[in-house]
Amino acid sequence: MKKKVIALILGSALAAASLTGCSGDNNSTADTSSMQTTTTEEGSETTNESAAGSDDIVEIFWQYPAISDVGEGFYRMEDALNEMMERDIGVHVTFVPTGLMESQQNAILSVSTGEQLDICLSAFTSVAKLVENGLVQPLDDIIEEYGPDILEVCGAAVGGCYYDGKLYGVPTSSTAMYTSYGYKMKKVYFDKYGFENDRDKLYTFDEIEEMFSVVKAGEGDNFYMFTPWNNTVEPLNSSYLEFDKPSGDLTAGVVMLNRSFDELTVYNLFETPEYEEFCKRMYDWRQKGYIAPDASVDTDYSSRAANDNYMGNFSGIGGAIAENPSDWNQDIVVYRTIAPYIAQNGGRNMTWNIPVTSVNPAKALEAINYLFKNKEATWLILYGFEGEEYEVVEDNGVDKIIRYLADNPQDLPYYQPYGIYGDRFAWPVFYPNSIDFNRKIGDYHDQIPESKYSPIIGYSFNQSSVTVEMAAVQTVIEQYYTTFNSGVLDPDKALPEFQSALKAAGIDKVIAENQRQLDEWAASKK
Amino acid sequence: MKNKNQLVHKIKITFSQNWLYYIMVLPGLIYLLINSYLPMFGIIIAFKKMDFSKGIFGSEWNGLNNFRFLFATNDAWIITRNTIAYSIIFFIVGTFMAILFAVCLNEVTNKISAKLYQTISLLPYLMSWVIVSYLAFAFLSSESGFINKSILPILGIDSISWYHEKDYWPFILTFVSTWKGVGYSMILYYSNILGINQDYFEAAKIDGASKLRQIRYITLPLLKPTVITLLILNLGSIFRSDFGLFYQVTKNSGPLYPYTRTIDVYIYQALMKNADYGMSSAASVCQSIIGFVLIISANKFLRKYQASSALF
Repeated sequence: MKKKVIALILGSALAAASLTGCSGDNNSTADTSSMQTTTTEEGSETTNESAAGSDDIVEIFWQYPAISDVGEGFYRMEDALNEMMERDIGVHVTFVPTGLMESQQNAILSVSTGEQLDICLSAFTSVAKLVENGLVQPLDDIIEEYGPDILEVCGAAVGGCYYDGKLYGVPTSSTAMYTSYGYKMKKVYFDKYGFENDRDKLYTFDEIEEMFSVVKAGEGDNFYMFTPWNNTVEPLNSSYLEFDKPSGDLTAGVVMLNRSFDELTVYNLFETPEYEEFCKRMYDWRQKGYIAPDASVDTDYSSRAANDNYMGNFSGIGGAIAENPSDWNQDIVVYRTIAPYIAQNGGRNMTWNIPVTSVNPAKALEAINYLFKNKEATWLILYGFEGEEYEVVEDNGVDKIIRYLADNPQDLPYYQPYGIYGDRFAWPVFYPNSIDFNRKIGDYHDQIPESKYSPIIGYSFNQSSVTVEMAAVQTVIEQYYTTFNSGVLDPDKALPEFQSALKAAGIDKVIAENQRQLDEWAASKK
Repeated sequence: MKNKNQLVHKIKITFSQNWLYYIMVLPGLIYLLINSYLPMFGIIIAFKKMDFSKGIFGSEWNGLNNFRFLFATNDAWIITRNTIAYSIIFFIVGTFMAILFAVCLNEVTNKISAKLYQTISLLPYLMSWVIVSYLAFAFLSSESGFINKSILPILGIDSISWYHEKDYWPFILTFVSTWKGVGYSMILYYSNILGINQDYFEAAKIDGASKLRQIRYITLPLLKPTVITLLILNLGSIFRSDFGLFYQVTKNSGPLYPYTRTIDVYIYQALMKNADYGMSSAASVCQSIIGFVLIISANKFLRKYQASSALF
């Protein structure tokens, strides 16, 4: 009897175990294929339903970049937002917190296991990977009906979200498309050494180097001028020269805009004389002590410049520079190195995409559109609640000036730093900027002449035939770029090695393919 | 007929005597089934061009295209050499140190001390590689590292930029790997030594053997079967490397790659931003198949020479 009972228990336990393998769980890969087909079918069915004005609330999972664990303020914000959204468009939003740089990877992970994700974020990467792997869906059919405000507010920026002829995403916000770069110096050193600064002038690197040598002589060892971001391949965080990257990264070559804004030739950046000059200068700077010896292996680079023994950093800066620019919780002075220009860089830098596991793509798009339509919803997500996170300093009916209620905004119950929601020009202005700051940015953007527009806007590079080579090239770049950016290796020896490794990985094939497609596109435009 | 009955009878007795052990093994067995056996069908991903809107079975076949990328680099040979060489070195050095530790620990008479030493030596194993990488950084940093600032000046040598000089790294990596793993691998040998019959040692003592001789002629030979079994098991993972060690501790520094880049690190670097499931699967399949072939052949080879130590 005892034996039978034991045998029975064991047997049923084993049987139960084997059944777990075939459950209809979302995470079971065996069922993914069938799940995919049903969701896309459902998707198209519900599109018709929502067009007819369905009364059911649709739940949308929306990827939300956060800098830390979300707190209680976040949930309050989510509830308040849902109050508005449920009432106006019948959507209930559930935010899925993620890190900004990991957003695309997390989206890939969720979608490939079949989890529902309606809106995902592509930050600083092109949408090519998502499309090549069949993870996002085209929006051409639904954009006009469900995203009219997006089209109106973002205008030409939407053109940068196309891949291979179809629309795969929408811009996150209508930020001005131009980019301008330079060196940000902490004001304490500016005052201490009596430098001058002309906001409208473009400084050469020799002039900046002169200032470095003065400061270095004054501060001595263990004081550094800037830190190269180790996740950014572009020289000096893109402050060194203008270019446009058709594939969104440097593996497929660049169009050298510093030479000309009209030429449609794709170059291998790493073989250009400009790059060689850059490497030599970085090597020189490191010998002189402007760059920390361990910079290339530093994992805390993003916050390193805030340290007391750093003078500043190179990075992108807003075009219409604020009257009192500040960063790292202190005043700074900006030295521009590159005039504002407009490049596509493989598509908009930040886009919302709709994955294939979305249950209702039309509603998802409508939710994004809602942010462009409704200022209050946007302010809610961006800043939180008036009186709790921020206070209104001035209000002239059209624009407001606001200020955070804490010196360190991270202490507030709700804080998120990413300006990726809604219409940029409808955002409140931050104190102490003047109340028409938004207008100024808009005007500044309009001032940028056509001659500063990259000639390849509207072109997208279809990578499917060279993915293997691009992966190999990427690996080679990963091996060398941190060392060149921090001036570790002598470029006379290391640069030829780098260049031949790139060739062996097949960069010439990639660039030839890119050039071929570009020429085709240029011909078809005429 | 009689044989069959006998067999059934045998099974019944084994089961009734050992049912408790079977229950003990059950959770692990379930885990193994779900984690290792069930996903095996996924091997086809390595041969397909993954398109998630069609699912795994709907995606098109890609032949051996995904494997091309592994050999597309100049460094394919260097990477393979690194992986295999480090696996071998780590095994040899690790085993030597583990046995040394186990033997020494066995000689400690104070029970409390013995437990204390064992716990302390086990602690590094429980640390994550990220923490270990920061520990290493504290020693090797050019700006503020212990070695550069305190030790080298005393010896009168110039500062060395550790993270950019590749020649030192085989030693550094071996040292760190052993330091981290010895506490854990020692446990097996220690328990083996504890199980050795004390009569042997007494007999040896009576015959006048010194401590060293006792160790050499009794302990070590009795540990041989364990070493051989572990050797075979390790052969199966000769193409794998500890990713944390080679990526975190080296801080992924480019100039070191000729001596520190192994297959796992290469795959991570190439495919992290790429998200190409096909290529990543291809790389894993390569590793697994080679490991599998190695284990089977090593086991066959061993069967001839020392059947009792063979795995199966």
